[in-house]
Amino acid sequence: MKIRNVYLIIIGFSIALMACRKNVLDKKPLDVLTEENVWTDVNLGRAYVNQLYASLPGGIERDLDGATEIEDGNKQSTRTYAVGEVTAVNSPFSSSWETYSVIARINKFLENFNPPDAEQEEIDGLKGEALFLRAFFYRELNDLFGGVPIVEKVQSLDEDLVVSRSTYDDCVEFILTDLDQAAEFLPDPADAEVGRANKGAALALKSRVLLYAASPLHNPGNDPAKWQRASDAALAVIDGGFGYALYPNYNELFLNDNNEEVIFDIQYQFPFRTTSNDYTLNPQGLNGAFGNSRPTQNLVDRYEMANGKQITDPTSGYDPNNPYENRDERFYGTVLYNGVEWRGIEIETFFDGAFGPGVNDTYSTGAHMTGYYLRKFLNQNEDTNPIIFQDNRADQNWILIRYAEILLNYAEAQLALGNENTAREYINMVRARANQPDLPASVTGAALQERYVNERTIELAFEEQHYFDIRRWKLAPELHAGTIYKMEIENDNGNFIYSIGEMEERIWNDSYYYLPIPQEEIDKNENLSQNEGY
Amino acid sequence: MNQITSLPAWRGLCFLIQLLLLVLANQKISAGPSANFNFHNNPAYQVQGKITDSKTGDPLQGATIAIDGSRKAVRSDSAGNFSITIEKQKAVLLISHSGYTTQKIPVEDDKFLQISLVEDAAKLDEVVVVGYSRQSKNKITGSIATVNGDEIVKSNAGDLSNSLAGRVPGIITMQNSAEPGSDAAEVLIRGRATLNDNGPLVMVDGIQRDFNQIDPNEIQSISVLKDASAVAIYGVRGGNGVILITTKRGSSGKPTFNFTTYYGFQNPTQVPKYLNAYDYARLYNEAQHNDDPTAPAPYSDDDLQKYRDHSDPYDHPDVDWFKEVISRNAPQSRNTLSITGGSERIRYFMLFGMYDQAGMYSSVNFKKYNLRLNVDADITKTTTLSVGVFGGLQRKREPGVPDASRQGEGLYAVITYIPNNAFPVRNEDGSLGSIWGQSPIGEIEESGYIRKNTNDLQSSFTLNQKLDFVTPGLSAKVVYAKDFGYNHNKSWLLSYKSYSRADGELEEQLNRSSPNLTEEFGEYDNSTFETHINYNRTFGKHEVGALVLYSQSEFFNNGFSAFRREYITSAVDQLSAGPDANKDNGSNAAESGVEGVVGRFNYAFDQKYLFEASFGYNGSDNFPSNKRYGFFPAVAAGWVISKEPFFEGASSLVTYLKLRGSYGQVGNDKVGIRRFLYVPTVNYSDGYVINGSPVQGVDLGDPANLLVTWEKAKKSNIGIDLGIKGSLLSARLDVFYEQRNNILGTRNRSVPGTYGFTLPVENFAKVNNRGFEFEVNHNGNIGSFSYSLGFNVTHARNKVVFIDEPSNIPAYRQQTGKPLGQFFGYIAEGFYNDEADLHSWAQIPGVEPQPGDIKYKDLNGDGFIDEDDITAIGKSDMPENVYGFNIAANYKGFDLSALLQGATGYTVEFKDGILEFIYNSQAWEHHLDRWTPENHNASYPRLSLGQFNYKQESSTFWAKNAGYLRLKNIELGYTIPTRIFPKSSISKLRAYITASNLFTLSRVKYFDPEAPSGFPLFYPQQKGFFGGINVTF
Repeated sequence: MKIRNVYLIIIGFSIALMACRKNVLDKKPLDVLTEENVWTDVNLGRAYVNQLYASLPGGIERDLDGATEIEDGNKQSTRTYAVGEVTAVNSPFSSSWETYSVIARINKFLENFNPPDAEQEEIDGLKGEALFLRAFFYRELNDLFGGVPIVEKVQSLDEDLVVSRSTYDDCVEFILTDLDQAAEFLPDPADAEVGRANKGAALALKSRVLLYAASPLHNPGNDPAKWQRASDAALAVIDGGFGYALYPNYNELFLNDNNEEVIFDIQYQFPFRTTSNDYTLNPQGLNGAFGNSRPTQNLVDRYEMANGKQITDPTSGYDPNNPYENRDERFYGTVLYNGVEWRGIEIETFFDGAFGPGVNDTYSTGAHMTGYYLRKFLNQNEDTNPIIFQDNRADQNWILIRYAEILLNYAEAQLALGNENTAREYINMVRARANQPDLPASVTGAALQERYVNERTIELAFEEQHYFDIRRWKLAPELHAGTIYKMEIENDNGNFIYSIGEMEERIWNDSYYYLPIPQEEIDKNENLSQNEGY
Repeated sequence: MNQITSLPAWRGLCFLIQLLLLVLANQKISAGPSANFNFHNNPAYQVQGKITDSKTGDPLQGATIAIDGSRKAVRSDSAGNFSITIEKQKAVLLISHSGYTTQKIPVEDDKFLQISLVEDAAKLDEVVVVGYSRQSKNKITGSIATVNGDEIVKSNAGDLSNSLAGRVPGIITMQNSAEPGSDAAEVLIRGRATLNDNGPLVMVDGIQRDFNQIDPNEIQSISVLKDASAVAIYGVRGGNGVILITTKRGSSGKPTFNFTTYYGFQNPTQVPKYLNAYDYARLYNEAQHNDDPTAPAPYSDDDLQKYRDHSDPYDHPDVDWFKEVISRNAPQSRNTLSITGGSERIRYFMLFGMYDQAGMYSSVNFKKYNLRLNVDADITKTTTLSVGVFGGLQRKREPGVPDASRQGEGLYAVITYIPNNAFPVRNEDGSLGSIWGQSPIGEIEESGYIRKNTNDLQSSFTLNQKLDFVTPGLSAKVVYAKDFGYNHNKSWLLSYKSYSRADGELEEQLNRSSPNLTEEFGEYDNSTFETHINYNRTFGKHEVGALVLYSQSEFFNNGFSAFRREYITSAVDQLSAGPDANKDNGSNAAESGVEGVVGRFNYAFDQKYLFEASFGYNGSDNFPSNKRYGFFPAVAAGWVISKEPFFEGASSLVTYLKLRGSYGQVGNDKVGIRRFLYVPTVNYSDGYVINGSPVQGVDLGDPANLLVTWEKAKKSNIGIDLGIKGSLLSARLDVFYEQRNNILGTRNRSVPGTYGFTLPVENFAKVNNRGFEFEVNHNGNIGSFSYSLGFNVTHARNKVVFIDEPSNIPAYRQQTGKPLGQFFGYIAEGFYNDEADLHSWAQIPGVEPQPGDIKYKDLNGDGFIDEDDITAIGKSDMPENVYGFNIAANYKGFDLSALLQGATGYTVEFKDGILEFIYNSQAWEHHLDRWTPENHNASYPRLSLGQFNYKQESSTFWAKNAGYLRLKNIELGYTIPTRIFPKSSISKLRAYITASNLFTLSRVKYFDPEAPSGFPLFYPQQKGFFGGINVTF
């Protein structure tokens, strides 16, 4: 009895002894990495840079062009611009300010990444990508806000965080420094992985930066030196031997990923990275699609006839009762209109048609019926791209820079420098892809300038260029403001009666050249000045 | 080598205690004959008896019959009978029972004893479970509320968290959802005191465990530890209070079977009242006209007529979706069988329980199965081995509704979005009607399933060694507990066909393109180890008690998930049956630990002057290695005034009066947000596409704070216990004040965005919390009618003392100085009634209000309604006051009990959920009384189809006082006299009917007052009617 007692106690407490573990609190995260892992391992460093690409801004979901006259949709963001209610508190695109969080990540990478076992070339390549991306983000910030604080190092918390804004031109120089360094580090497009930044992309972005910087908004004295730099930068891409060329089919250019015209883009791949384009852009009511980003009559009227004449030209052959016949093929590649066949059905945008305004309209659905839907970027194949509510399946890449832009950049710079023939030649290159006849040599001066504006507007419509173009050209007061038109269509037993109607009057304030700095940032940083008019 | 500044001293203690025990145990052998070694030589005799309640005459089960001066004790069985062997010639029996006055009965022969115990209203002899120990109620100096298992059983709630409100002073609860299997209420002790996790620490049988799974029939008692002296021993984990749940254990005697069953039906307490198709269409026309007077009416007079006379049920349907979809009288049942008994040396308690609850949709169901086995074995005269094993299974099933987390609520949302006139339930040909492929019937019956299974096994082993041979009153204990289990969720989402109507044509629609399957598997493995040393002894008038223990716990979990999409058939619901093209998988893992030393010292003089000091010195792996351990002390004192000689005059009226007070510091390591706040982490992210293939990405996680530490709570408590004329009246009052500082928060609101990173969390926020609890009970009887009345109330009000917020906003917009969860919004001042009103009122930038819109007050008088006119409105979203009335009565076998529970001092705001036509959804009955040019005295603004109308702003128009009073429970039972049964077959048979949430009084309209604010498309609270039987044999 007693002996058993002792054994029991011994056994019991021996078990207890084993149970009494050391280091109970010495726990580590089991399913996340630490920062130190990333800076010392080249593969993790690459994964870190991969994730930076995932933050690239842009796309039809953000839709900067929605805040211009070429579009009228039912999106809250773009409505704010249409009705002139942008304030420092309520400014939809101001969330771009959050780009600073990506810039901070890039800064951290540039400062810390130094894996001991990696080859210098590999390290430089990744740093080159990071520098390119930093330039890309600053370019956006600079053009959206007009001169922003330059943060090029990881700030420590005890350092003064209340930074001030640099001028637009200082930002440009900072961006160019990054791009020059990136171009040095990055491989030629042929040697780079598809989707990563390369030397061609760095030079192409430089062309955009310098063209914008030379434009009237930022070059009030019209300094020709600025235009010359812009021209040189564009030519460096054109003559760079990178193998860029215009893709033969305008509509398929946006559907056939990674073609020869693409210089830099955001990559998507079903099912890993997708967008909501199919159900947000397809005609409203088609399997529950939203029909966002609707083209306006203002845009549609810009498309020439296939014979190269503008529809305002009495000899163009434009028939207001058959408005969609014989137009520039970019019209058919960009716009879905009444009567066009789409996904096996005929698009009806007439009154009480399947996708048109009607008696049952509500505020949310009917008020922004322009008579058109967007076709650009949309895949017609119902098998690969079914329309399913909240099911993101679209995986076309979103092109950020393409060769046509560079050609137009060069044309614009040459035009400003007075070389009209060269300008016309490069405009015609872009027209030729759409099978539009060359601009005749008789088009000169202001007329040529206007044709250039028209060309760039339709070629790059909805690609988030128009938003910046009308501002830097200082044409926004006349283009953004004023009447937005829509097409009103009556169905008279299968005969359609077309009449152009007024949709709304839009408001422009000169403060809209730039976004307001978000009010909460002004509140937190006394050194941050607000843009004029906010 | 790890860099932990470990606890060499007390880990050493852990070993030392064990070593000591081994040596002592060996010494015992060499110590020769012990005091009770030769008891077998004494003449022994058996004493038998029966114990009953003095008032009702009912047999009392579980009374303790102890021999004074010895350690021997037995318990009475369910018939009140006991039998005890007495070794000495003369002995005194101590008969005690929780809630009754202890009696001393001298015995000297083996005659049969009839003992009737007198109930004690103040329950001073009640033994209360306190942290790591038990204490008799009259010696308690802290603030501890208890509730017994029989009280908990009266609630028919599926989840234990819903059985506490109104029954335990100090507990504040909110039940947001009543979805079977997901109906747990948020339980707070004395309200909120931190911006982070306010949830208390829950211990089941001394081990940190989840309590939701427990069957009420297995609960012996629940103790709620509230003040510093009660929780300081839990140190860094005790800050939010502690709930201790103790399960039943066996008592000696022949096996007693107890079978309890009930069956009943539940229905929602309150469902939204939507408009019929005619009213819907009529109001829709009006709203369209309000928005655009030139627009044609969406519904023609002909349409309206058809909606009205139901002459065209397919193209002009009028469907009451709630009627179509909600199963009335969803059944709920519980069956529990428990067996208890044992010999003098081995005692056992076994329980098997089954719970089955159907949902208000036919495909929602929840079942759980409980098994418990508690065994105590006296393996030697001084050694007791206790084993507790619990096995639990939960089976939850829901339809495959496409809503990420809350399926039942997802379905509720589907119904809410569909107006009565949207489409017929079924078309002419019997096919399902729908828009965009969503048919409520299809969603419930044909959308597949979501199955959530959890399986738990909990076990604990306790070895208690009395060490009286070292010094009387000393004992040591070792506890080892191992809990593990796994859960398995499976979502098999099917596509079904439905048909929408367009111009009389039926168009096929799918809710989703094809079946898809997701499976998730998770496992956990927790262990706890403790070594205790206990000392309790009385020296004359001095009573001394001490406890020292070492405790460590480790928690580990691991999980993985996988999915495949676009199955070509719904024939086989297996991952391997799906296509290779669309699949993915993931995993997670985490581990954590706590370690500490606990000490407590009690001293009482003459049962008058009580003193207690306690501490917890413990650490949590949530903090950096050099900042892990903290010391948390508390002191408490009590004075039993009624025992003082000078009080004697009053003692005929005031039979008991005690003053209590305590002060101490406790910590809270539930700092929330995330774990490893001191390690800069990098997370695996979605990645990117390179060369046409996905590549991995990593992204910075949250930054680290190397100084991060626990929250500190300074708690003070003062209490009075009062007993008047024995059972006539007993009352308790506790007043508390807590200062919580070191609350973790981020200062992001003051750091410019150009910094680019989120700031690490820092310990800087401060919150104060103060309040009181009061309870009063009265027992009485008039002849054979006996009754008890009880009332308790809890009041807790917190105030944010410091928080990160911009300093340049006006005080009325600041969170500082207001309670956590405070509502903010505009002050609504009626409607604009005409154009003159519009012109005379302050402007709203960017908005052109119409007559009939809500007017907001221009608080700062600047002529504009903007952010600076937002102020605190109403109160917070958690009740400041919770109260309960308990009523119980007995008369000749009949018993009646009721619990009225209420809450006041909080606000709900059902803004978005009750607007008209929002996202083209339903309209409600309350929209009928809308503002029109003819009806200025309306309760609702003018109708509009606008989604972004500014009436959606938070304002006093929507924020409502949410106080309620509800009949949480009422039960009527009848105990059939046992004499009609053959002897020793059935000892008790009781039948009862009971109802829960029978009525709720509240000013809150539209939803239940406990519904969550905002867009409350939740699973509504339920009321139930049940009938049950309780048999003991």
